[in-house]
Amino acid sequence: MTTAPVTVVERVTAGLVRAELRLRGAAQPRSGATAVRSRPTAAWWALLALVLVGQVVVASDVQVPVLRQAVGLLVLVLVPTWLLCPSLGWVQERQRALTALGLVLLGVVAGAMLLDVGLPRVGVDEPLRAPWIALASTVVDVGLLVRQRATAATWLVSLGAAADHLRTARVHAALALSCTGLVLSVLGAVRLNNGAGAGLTVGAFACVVVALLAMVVMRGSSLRTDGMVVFTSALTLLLATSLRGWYVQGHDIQLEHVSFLLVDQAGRWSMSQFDSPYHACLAVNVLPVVLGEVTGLSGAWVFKVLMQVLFALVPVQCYLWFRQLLPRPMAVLAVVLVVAFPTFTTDMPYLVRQEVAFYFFTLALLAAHPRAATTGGRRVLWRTRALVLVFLVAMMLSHYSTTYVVLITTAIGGGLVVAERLVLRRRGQEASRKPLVLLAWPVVVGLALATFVWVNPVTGTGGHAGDVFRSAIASLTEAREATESSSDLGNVPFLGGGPTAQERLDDHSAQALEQAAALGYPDGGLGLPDRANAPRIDEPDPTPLTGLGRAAADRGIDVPGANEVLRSAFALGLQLALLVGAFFLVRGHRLTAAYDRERVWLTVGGVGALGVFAVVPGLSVDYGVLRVFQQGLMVFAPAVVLGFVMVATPLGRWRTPVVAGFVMASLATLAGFVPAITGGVDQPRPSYSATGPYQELYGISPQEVAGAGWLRDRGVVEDGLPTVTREPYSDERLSGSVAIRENAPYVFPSLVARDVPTLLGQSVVQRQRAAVFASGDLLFYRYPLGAVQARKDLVYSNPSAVVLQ
Amino acid sequence: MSVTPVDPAAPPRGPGPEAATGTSRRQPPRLVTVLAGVGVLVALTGLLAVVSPAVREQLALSVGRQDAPYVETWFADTVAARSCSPDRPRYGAEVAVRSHLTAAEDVAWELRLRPVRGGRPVVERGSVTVLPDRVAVVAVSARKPRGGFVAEVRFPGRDQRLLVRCTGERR
Repeated sequence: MTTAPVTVVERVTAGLVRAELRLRGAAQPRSGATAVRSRPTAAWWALLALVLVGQVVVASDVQVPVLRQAVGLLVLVLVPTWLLCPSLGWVQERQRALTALGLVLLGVVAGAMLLDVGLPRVGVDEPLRAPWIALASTVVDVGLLVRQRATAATWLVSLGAAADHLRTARVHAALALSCTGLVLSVLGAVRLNNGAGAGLTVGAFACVVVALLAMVVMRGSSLRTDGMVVFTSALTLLLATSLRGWYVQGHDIQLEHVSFLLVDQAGRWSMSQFDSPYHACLAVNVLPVVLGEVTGLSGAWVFKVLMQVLFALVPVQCYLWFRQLLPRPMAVLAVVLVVAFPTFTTDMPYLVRQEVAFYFFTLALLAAHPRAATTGGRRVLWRTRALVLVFLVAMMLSHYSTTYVVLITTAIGGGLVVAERLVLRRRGQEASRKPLVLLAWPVVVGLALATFVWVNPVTGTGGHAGDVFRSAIASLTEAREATESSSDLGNVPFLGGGPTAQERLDDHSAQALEQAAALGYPDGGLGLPDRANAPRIDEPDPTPLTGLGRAAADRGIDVPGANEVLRSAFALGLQLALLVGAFFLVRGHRLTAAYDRERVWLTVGGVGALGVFAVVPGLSVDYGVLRVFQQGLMVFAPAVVLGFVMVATPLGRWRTPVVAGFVMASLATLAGFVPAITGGVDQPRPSYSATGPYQELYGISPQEVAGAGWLRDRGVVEDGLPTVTREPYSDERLSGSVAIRENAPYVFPSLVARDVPTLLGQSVVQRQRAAVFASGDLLFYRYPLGAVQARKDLVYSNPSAVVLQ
Repeated sequence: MSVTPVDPAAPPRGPGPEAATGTSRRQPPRLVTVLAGVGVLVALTGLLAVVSPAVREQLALSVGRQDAPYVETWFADTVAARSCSPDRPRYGAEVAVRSHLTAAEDVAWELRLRPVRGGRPVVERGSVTVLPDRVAVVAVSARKPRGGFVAEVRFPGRDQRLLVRCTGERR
């Protein structure tokens, strides 16, 4: 006779339930679940004890790898998320857990700020330390345990159910592929860091492309499986980039890491630590500091792994939001567009503040469920509005440039809703009476007010936004130099490309000379650039062709040209499809039946915001158009897919493969798979290349860190920190790894001072190429290393760094 | 598991766009089966790594940090090296070498004093033994040429050097 297998969990559960019943003298229950009572049960006490033990592990900073991280995340994030879910019964079930997680993470930031404000008043100088965080987290956990006694008492039953689910779970091909891609991307990044080839990373890209294609063509997967495929695919692409390099490296993230370090070292947050708008973005200091304290992980791990895991939820949330609007295959294609867009892999892993902002933004989109406005009554409507506003405020605390785009989007969208209703009333037609959620004026005005309060009285960082606004207005009303626009606009075919790279560099050189004069140069400087050493654009060579690329070249195909044509074709296709899709959305179509007017005008508002950033020159310099497009895709990607479908309609039965093929080909091309397998790329991404200009300029080698460390010990000290030169294109490139101060004078030839030690990094030392960020663009130029060395002594040297004095 | 291509624009099944997708006919493999397969794969890879140095090397490149070996070089006393000792017949400097190599190694050096007005440079050569993660200091010196000169310390086989100008210019 055989008996059913009994798991350890089930045995423990049954034991605890029996013990509880003995204590109460109650009858034997029919199942564990029915044993739930409002009074604390043995299971409840057991969970409380485990949580307390976990908090003690965190508070006492126990350093056991994996265990500490697991326990930290469990008690800080997972337990409260699980216990919060039952309180969100009015939220759609499929998005309840994600909503709870978002609220918990916002709570982590808000709680940390409360500690930061409150504890110093009672004599605690470093409130953002593990013991205090654990204490606050314990209070929250215990509060939730008491409030959700019934749910908490079922934890063993839930664990048993989860174990049963895992035992019987089946693995779809798409999920198996995306998980394989995830493993390959991690190993591939490590190999590239060690100077080995990119084969595994290319394999990871291939897995993602095939997994998402399989997701499009296959039926039979659940929403949960779809979500996991999207999550693992997105995480594959993100980790392939974020794990490159042994240090925190890349544009923006370097400065974000410096902001993090200042808070981490002080154990508290204050705007006086760092006079930069970056420091007002709590997503790069308070949130990662708390996560680091609780998990025992360094900032590099938090930035390169934990924050990427969080951002990988964004496509999942997009998918759920798109599924509110479109049939599954179209929603899948829409989410493919979100992860395929180049900014997703080339920018986002280096912009942690925007990753977190997008995380909360997509939660707000998801929370504004169309049914909330119609089926839940006024109470649910206002709760939903409040939830949306809460997530939007969390977004604002993370990154307020993202907030400005949302404000423009909602202002345009809300204005169009009002305009449509007015027009319909004038015509005597019935206007929709459906209450608004995301575009409701209390939400929009509430966000605007919260933004104003945060950037002005609280952090005093509103000046930057004011400057951008004034610059934008001036660029519209005055005859400004043509260089004041980002070359991102070159990707917008209808708007042209702007000035050439050399013109931008000449403009920058002229400004540098003016700056040198203001600093008292050239008396203390090197007299550079002279005529022989005028900075000239030095575009990097394309990567060598791979075997496939050479085979294509042998057949007469210009591989670099073909790559560029493909990229441009997809860029043009996306924009055309967006316009077509927006047109059919406004006009109405059977495929847009799930769209209400609020979402239609929200989509148009997103297109309008993109237009504003593309047309107003100053805005595109401060905030790249591609980033606005990436943000916009979270709103209007369904419209793009709709546009593709409408354009392909005349193809009849070929419409399906053509649309799916185009979108998947755009993923393969824009996410870097095609360029990686052909070679011949001007600026290869760090995710599939150990070399290339990006790696030269932003990559940090151990030798550079050693050079900076040498200088730290012997260099000129200013304000308590050794001072070395920095390049404008990579602010604080090394100071996130070595305690040095990277400030003026610059490395740009006309700004090199004679009396200050100058640290030159690997790009200059190994390739004599440097770069400046000028007029919204990164410009590569030939560095006159010989001329600089002819004027200063070389006192330190290693293969990737030298110090001139 | 069916693989029937579907129309991306096909209207949703069921009550709305959020309708659950249909159930599959052929069941995908169980998670435990897949995990067992992964376990076998990992075990085989481990076995290969034990018997094959090439596999071991590739595994090491894939799972951990493998820094390239190098040395750092600098003037141990920058002020003394740049002072150029105008009253002495020989130019001398102390050069520090920090090893990031995996084993003890002799690092060759070459001091080259190049007259600024032209002529044959004065060259002295030698080597210093360095141990991993240790700093070794070596004194290098050579007879000064006439007039101003540029003193350069090269490290043959390594693309790095140190250099000072003893040209009498104000610094």
